[in-house]
Amino acid sequence: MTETPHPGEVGSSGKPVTIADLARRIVAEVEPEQVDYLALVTASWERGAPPRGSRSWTGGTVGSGVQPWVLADLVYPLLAGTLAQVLGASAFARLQRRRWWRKRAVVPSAQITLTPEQVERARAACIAHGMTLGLSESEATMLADAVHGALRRTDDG
Amino acid sequence: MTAPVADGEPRLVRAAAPARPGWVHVLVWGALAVLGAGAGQALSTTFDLGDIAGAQACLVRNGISVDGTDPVALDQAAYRQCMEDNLRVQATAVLAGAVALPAAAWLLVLLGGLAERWRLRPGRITGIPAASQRLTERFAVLCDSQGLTRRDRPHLVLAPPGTGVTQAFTTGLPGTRPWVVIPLAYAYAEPIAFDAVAAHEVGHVRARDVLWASAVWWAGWLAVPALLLALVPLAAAPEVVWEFYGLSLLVSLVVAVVMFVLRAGLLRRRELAADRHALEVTADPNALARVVKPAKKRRTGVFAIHPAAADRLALDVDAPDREGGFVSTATAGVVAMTTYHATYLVLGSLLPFNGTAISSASVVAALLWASVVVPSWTRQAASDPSGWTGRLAGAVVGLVVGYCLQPPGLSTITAPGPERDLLPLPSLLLVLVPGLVVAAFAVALLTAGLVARLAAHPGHRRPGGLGAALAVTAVLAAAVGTLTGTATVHVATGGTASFRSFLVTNGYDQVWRHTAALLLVALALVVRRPGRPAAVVSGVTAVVGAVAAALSWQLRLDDQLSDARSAFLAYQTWWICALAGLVAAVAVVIVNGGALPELPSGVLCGLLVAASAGGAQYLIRRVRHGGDSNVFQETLQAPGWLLVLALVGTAPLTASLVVMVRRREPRHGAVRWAAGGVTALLALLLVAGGLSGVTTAESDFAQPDTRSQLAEQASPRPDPPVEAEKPLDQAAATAALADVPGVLPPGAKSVPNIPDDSSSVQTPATCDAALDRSIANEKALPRAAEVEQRFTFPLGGRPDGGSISVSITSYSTPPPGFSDIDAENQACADFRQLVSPEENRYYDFHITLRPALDFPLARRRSITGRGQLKGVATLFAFEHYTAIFGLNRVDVALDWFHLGTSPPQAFLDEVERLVTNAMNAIVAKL
Repeated sequence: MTETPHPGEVGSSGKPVTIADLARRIVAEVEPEQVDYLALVTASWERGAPPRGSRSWTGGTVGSGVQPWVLADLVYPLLAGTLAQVLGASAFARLQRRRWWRKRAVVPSAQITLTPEQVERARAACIAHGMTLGLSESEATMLADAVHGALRRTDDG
Repeated sequence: MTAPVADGEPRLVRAAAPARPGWVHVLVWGALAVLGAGAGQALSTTFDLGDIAGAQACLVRNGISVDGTDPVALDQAAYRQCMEDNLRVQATAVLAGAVALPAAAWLLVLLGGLAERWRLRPGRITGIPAASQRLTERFAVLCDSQGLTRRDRPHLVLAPPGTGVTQAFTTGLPGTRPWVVIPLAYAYAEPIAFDAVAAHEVGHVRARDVLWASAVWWAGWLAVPALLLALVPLAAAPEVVWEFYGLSLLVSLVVAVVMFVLRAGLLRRRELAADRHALEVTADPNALARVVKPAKKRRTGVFAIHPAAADRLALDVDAPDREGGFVSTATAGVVAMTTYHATYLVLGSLLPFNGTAISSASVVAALLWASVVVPSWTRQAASDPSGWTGRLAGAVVGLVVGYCLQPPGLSTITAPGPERDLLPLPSLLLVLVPGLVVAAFAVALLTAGLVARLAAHPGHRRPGGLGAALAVTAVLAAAVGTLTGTATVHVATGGTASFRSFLVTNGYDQVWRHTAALLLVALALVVRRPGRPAAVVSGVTAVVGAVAAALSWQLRLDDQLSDARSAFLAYQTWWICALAGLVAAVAVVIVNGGALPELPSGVLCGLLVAASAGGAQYLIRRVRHGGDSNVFQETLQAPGWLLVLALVGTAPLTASLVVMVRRREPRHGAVRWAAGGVTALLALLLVAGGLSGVTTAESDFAQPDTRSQLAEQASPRPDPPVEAEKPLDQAAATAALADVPGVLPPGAKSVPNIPDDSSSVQTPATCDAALDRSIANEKALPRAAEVEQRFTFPLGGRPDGGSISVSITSYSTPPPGFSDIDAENQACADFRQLVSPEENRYYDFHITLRPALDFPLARRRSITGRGQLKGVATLFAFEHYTAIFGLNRVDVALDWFHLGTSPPQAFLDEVERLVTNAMNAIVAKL
C-alpha cells in the first residue's frame, strides 16, 4: 500500500515542489547530459524499486564490488538524507512509502515545501550526507550548492 | 604507463587470461559427493532400507554377536551370507547419495543462472538511451582485443536503474555464453571507468569463476539440509538424532560455514586477479582508482567476497598469485581423505572380501589429491618459488585431519570388512596418526620437489606434470593403503613384529607391487637428465650396494638353510639394495646443492641404484645357485618397495640433514665417494642386526624353529607307554582322552566332530591322489576302537579362537607307520588354491615338517595357508601331531586363524604348549 503525502502538508510556507523536480534541476545544472538517465532513475524510484545492490541469492554471480559514481544515481539518496535532517523524522516519513517486504523509500512525486530557514539548513545537511555517501568534501560542497540553489529558486518561484 | 589513444579511445592491450582455478571444481564436486555419500548412508540406516534387523537376527542365529565383540572374522562365510543384502543396499544408498547431491547442486546452479537471466529478461531492459550504444561498441572492442570469439565471447547486458543492478557482475549458465551485466550508469561515467569494470568482468569470464562460485555456494547451503532430510524418520525422537547423528550434524554445519568462508576468501583473491587483468588490459595504472573509492575500512570480514578498497588500490600487477597455499592444500587433503572413507565404504560393502578395497580407495583419494595439488602448486612455484612452509603444513594437516574426520552421516572406519566392527577407532588412530604425519610430510616434500623441478625447467611441463601427478599418486596411495592395513593388523594382533612384517610384505600386494616401477617411470618424465654428479654418486652406491647384498647372501649360505632363514637372508639383501638407494637419493640431492628441485633427481637415482643393486645380486645368486625366481620381483619390486618405505619413513630425518648441509654450489670430490662408504656401513650394520628393529628380523620368518625350541618348555614329557599287546576297547580309548579338557584354557567347550570330507581346501591332483590313498589305506585297517573328540577354546583374545581335535584309533594289527603321511607331505608340500578367480585371490599352502623327538614313532607338521582378506594378510594353520604306540595311534590336530602375516610370539607359544600338552595328556593315560 502506498501513502502519498498531500500537497501543502509538508512545509509551512512557500510553494510546494516535487522531489523529482528538485532532482531534475540539480542534475540539469551539474550534469546536464544525465537528464535522460535521471528519468529512468526517477521512474525506478517512483515504482518503489530503488537499487538493491548486486548480491544474489543464487550465488551465480561474480560482481565487481564497485558502484558507478554518477549524479543521477546519487541525487535521490542525497536528497532523501538531506530532507530527513531538515524536515525531521516524522515529516520525512510522510514523504516515504513502503511495502511490507521493502525498505522505506522516498517517492519522487512527493511534494515538499521548505521554509527559508530550512532551505539554509539544507546546504550544510547536504554536505554532510554527500560525504556520508562517499563523496569528497569538494564534490559534496558542489552538490550542496546545486541543491541549495535549486531550493532557493523554488522559494523564489 | 598509458596505452596510446586511437580514435579518441585508449587502446586496449591483450592480457593473459587469469589462471582458472580448476582445482576448486574437483574439490567442490568431490566434497558434494562425500556429503551425499554420508547422507545416503544415514538415509539407508534411518529408513532401514537394508533390513538390518533381519541381518542381525541372521548373525545371532550363526553365533555371531551383533555387539561387535565376537570374532566374526573366523566365520567369514556366515557373516557374508547374513550381511550381503544389507551391505549391498547400504553401498547402493551411499553411491546414490554421492551422485544425487552433486546432481542437486548442479540443478540449483542451472536454476540460479536461469533466475539471473529471468531477472534481466529483455522485457525489463527497456528505454535504454542512445548513449549506451557507445558502451556496446566499446565492449566489442574489448572482446576483440582479448581474442574472445564465439562461445567465449560474453554477452553484454546494460542494466537500467529499474533492474536494481548497482554493480557490474558476471553470470552464466553452463554451456552457454556468459553474461556481463553492467549498470547503464557507466554510460555517463568516465570512459576509463567502463573500460576498467568491463575488463574486470571479462577477467572473471576468462577465469570461468562463475560456475565454481555458484557450485560452492550451493554446496554450502546443501550440506546440512541433505543430512537433515536423511534423518526425517527420526524426527519424532530428537534425542536419538542427537545421540547417533549429533556429531555428524555439527560437522556438516561446520563444513557449511567453512565452505562459505573458503568461497569468500577465494573470491576475494579472484577479485584481485580480475583487477590485475583490468590493469593489464587498460594499461593504465590508475584505472582502478577511477572506479574503486577509498574507504576507511581497512580489513574485510571472513564472509566478504570483495577485498578491501585499500588492497585493490595498492594492487601490484606483478605480485605472485597466492592461491595454492595452506588453506587450499589443507582443503584438498580433507576432501581427498574423506573421499577415501566414502570410496572404501562402497567397495568394502559391495565386495566385502575383495582385497583391493583399501588399495582402490587409496588410489582414488591419492589421485584426487594429486590432481588438485600438483597443478595448483606448479602455478604457485612458477610465480613464487619460496613460501613452501604453508603448503607443506597444509598438506600434512589436511591429509591427517581428513583421515581422522568421519564424513557427516557416514559410519565407517579404516578397518576392512567385518573386522571394522571389532577394532576400536581410537586405537587405530593412535597408531595411524604418527605414521600419517610422517607419510604426509614425505608426500608433500616429494610433491614440492616435483613442482619446483617443473617450475625450474618449464620446457616439458605437460609430460612432466603428468609424471609428477603419477608419482605423487603412487606414493600417497601406497602410504595410505599400507598404513591403514598395518595399523589394522597391529591393533588386532599387537606387537611390533606384525607392524614391521606387514609394512615389508605389503609390497607383494597386487597393487603396491607396481609402486616402485610406476614411480620410476613417473620420475623419468619429470627428470630428464639428473646430471653428472648424480651419475657418479649413483654408480658408486649401486656398486657398493650390489657387492654388499651379494656378499651378505653368499657368506651366510649354508647347505642346511631353512626356508625361514632363506627368506630372512633374501629380505636382508633387498634391504641392503634399498639402503643403497636411500643413501644415493640423499647424496644426489646434497651434491647438487640441496635445493628442492633436486629432490626428484635424488629419488630417481635412488630407485635406479636400488634396482641396479637388486639386479646385480639377483644375477650373482642365479649364476651361482641356479633356481627359478622372478626377475621383476627381485630387481625392482622388492628393493624398490623397501626403498619407498625407507624414503617415506626417514623423510623428516633426511630433509633435516639436507637442510643442514646444503649450499648454493654443487659439491665435488669426497662427498660423492662418501656415499659408497655410508652404504657399506649401513649394510654392515644391517647384517650385524643393528637395524633389525626397523627393517627385518629373523624372528619374523622363524616361527617353526622357535616353536621347536618352545616344545622343550612345554609340560613334562611322560615316558612312552609300554607298547600294548592287545587293542583298546572303546571305553578304554575314551578314557584315554579324559584328561585333554584339563590342559585346555578355561572356557574350552566340546563341539561336534567335523566329517572327514568337510574340508574346503582344494588341492592339486597329485596331492589329492596322495590324500585319497592315505585315507583309503587307513580305513582299510581293521580296528577295535576309534574315538575322536573336538573342542573349541579361547585363543588370541577370541572366545573361540582355536579348535583342537584329539583322537585314538586302536588297530587289531600293528599300523604300518607313517609312509602315507610322508607321501602326503611330499605331494602337498606347496600349492596354491585360487579362492576367487575374478579377484585373483588365492591362498598359498605350505607344509612344514617339524621335529618330533619326544616319542620313537611320531610325526609333526604344520600346514599353513597364507593369503589376503580384503587387503589384509591372513594366515591360518593346522598343527598336526601324531604318534604310534603299539596298536594305538594318537592324533592331535589344532587349527587357528590369524589376521596378519605373523602372530605375536605369545600366541605361538600358547599353540605350541597346547599341542604338546594334549599329546602328553593322552599318552599318560595309555
